[in-house]
Amino acid sequence: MEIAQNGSERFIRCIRCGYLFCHPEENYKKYSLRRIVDLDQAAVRPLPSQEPYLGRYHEYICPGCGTLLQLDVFCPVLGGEEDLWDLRIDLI
Amino acid sequence: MQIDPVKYEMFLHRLWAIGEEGRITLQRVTASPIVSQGGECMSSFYDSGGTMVLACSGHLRFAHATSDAIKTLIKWFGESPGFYDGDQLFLNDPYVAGSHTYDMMIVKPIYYGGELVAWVATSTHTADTGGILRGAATEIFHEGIRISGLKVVERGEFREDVFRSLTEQCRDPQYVGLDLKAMIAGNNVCARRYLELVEKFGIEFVQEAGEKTIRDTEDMARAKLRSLPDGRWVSRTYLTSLDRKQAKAVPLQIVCTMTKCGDKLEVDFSGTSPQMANDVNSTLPSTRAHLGVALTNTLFWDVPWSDGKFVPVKLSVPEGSVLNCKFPAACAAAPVVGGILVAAVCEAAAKMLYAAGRYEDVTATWYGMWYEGGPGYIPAGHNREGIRTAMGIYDIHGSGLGATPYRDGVNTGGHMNIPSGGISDVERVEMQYPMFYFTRNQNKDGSGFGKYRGGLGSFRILAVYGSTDFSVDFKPYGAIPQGSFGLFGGHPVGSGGLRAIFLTGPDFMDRIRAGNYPTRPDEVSGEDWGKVYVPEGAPGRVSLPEFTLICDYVASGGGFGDPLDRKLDAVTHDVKTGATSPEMARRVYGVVIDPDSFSVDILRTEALRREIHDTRLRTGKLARPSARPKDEGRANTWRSHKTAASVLFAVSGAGICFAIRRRTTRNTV
Repeated sequence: MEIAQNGSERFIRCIRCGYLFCHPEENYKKYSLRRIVDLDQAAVRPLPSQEPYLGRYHEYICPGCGTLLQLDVFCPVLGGEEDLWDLRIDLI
Repeated sequence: MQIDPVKYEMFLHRLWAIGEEGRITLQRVTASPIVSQGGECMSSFYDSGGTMVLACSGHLRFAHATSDAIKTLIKWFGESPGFYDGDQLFLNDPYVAGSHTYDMMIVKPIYYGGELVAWVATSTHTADTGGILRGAATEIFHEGIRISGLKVVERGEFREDVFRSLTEQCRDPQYVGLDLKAMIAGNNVCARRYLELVEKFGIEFVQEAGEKTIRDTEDMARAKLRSLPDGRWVSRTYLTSLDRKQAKAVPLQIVCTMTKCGDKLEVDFSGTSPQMANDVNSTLPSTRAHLGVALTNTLFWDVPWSDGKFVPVKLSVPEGSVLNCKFPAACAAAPVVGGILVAAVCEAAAKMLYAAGRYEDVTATWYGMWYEGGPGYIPAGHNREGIRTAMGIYDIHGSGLGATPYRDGVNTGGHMNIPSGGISDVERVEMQYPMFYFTRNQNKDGSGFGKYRGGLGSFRILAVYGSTDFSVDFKPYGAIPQGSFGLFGGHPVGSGGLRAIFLTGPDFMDRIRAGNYPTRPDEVSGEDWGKVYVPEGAPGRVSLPEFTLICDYVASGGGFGDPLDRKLDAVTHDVKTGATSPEMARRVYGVVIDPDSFSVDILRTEALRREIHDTRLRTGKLARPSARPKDEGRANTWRSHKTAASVLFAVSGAGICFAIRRRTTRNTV
């Protein structure tokens, strides 16, 4: 992804397909496709104690081309920001 | 004083070489595995006020910790009893410096012409401190000797009384004693060589050169920061810890907010979980030292390793959190907490560096664990010679490194804390401990998957052998990846590891004598070598009978980029070499490979990759639609913002997408 400019307007853009997500002052994850994958599904095998896994993967996908942009671990028990806003660049 | 630049370079390189000589001396004098093999030690130099001038390539957290130690010793004991030529002082208080009581340091003031002109320090991660065995402490008083400054050498005379008082508190007085004497030897070498530098260059030059190093380092750190974009990067990593009330593992989080503005950097850990009632805590000095590790390895690896680089860095840590526990909280597991902290800082730093176009400096995590818990690294018990053992086995130094924007991570590349570290020697472990290895190998499916995958890390299968009182620390299973992060579509960690205790049957030794033994975790249960044993409740440590099997694994690297972009021949190679199972090749990479012939079914692979891609688009939920038409971003009116910070992260690149015809032609790269 990159920050693209059209005149004075700026948007976060997918380098691969050109999809325009949002202004740089916003969290691009909110404008991505999100898929939730339980860790039980991602695991090769269950825990030796047979307890369930606690967390889940959040997959963030470009709506334009289907590229997997980011894959975060999230633990619902602890709460917090579900779609962690991980980068904010101050543009001049 | 005007410093001649040529003489200065000679001085700085010589000082580095002396530090290395001190560290090597230390490793050769001692025999404790964690130091002599693992390299968990450090030699470093400080100015007369305790500010670090230069550290060598040893365990990086010790270098920053010892700065805290010297400054505190000056404050507490500078007047009384005072310091004298030939003194060496011992300290291992994690509320003053270092991570836990196992971080032992000895500092030595250097005198010239009757004046204290500098300090030299050596440190080790020592085998034992006495106290309760690892896993059961609830306050620092349980964690063995905790010394806040004691002269083990006084005016050049070795204090046998102090030495014996320290070592006899420990289960392993031989190894602890060797470590102490090795630190003294390392200091003696460094101090003697430092005074040779004084003779060669003059005291005024040497002191001024030391101050110049600190100033230059700060200038270089500020210049590095100025070269990076301003902004804010946030990361969140998890770990787990025993909750005694619930008798099970509970998740904890470390949240790192890194704000960069001009030539300043602020690192704030607000949002991090509260401290625990067990030993999974980090003191503020430990947190500061681990931040030093993370920043040295990511942002400031190319500036001299002195305290100057931290002048532009502001650290904020909530008191009472797992990163700033209140006295007298136990903190033996502080290095584990510190590792997760390092991962959190590294994630934020990696995204900052990518935005700056410094791709060579970008790497996914080196600390990824699919889950923690089960048997730990700290066995104990008498060995076959009747000698008590109580120390960790440091296969953790064979961790997998993170993937980068250009390549896979190294499979068993080392440990971020220790540039010069080493992995445990199997033969010596078997000689010293009541156990033997069946195998130590690379961890199949251990790496974070991605266009470039992380390093696999390693696993091992051990058997208890030759002890009647063997025990190992045991934690309830923490059911979430910890210390893990991938970058830009790369998976945070692989899911291939197994950590478990297996109780074996009466025919175990007969099968061994027949030449059979398990070489993979799946073989242990698949070939009926033993049955999984999960202790009831939360015992902290478990006693294990002879021939019990222990399977575990170490950290691995995170992935980089979308796994569907991984080249077909790279996936095939991974399956052939055992790095990736055919199942995960299919599930994650969308590559269908025959497990026997390793041939790729191209048609089914194309179809499967298309199906994975289409499933993403079909099942993904959009929280907010873009305000722009789908195709507008391709118009020529939209151009890349021309600043170094315009690229947030990469999604482009060639790969199997050549073979996979995605829905839009522009998507095929």
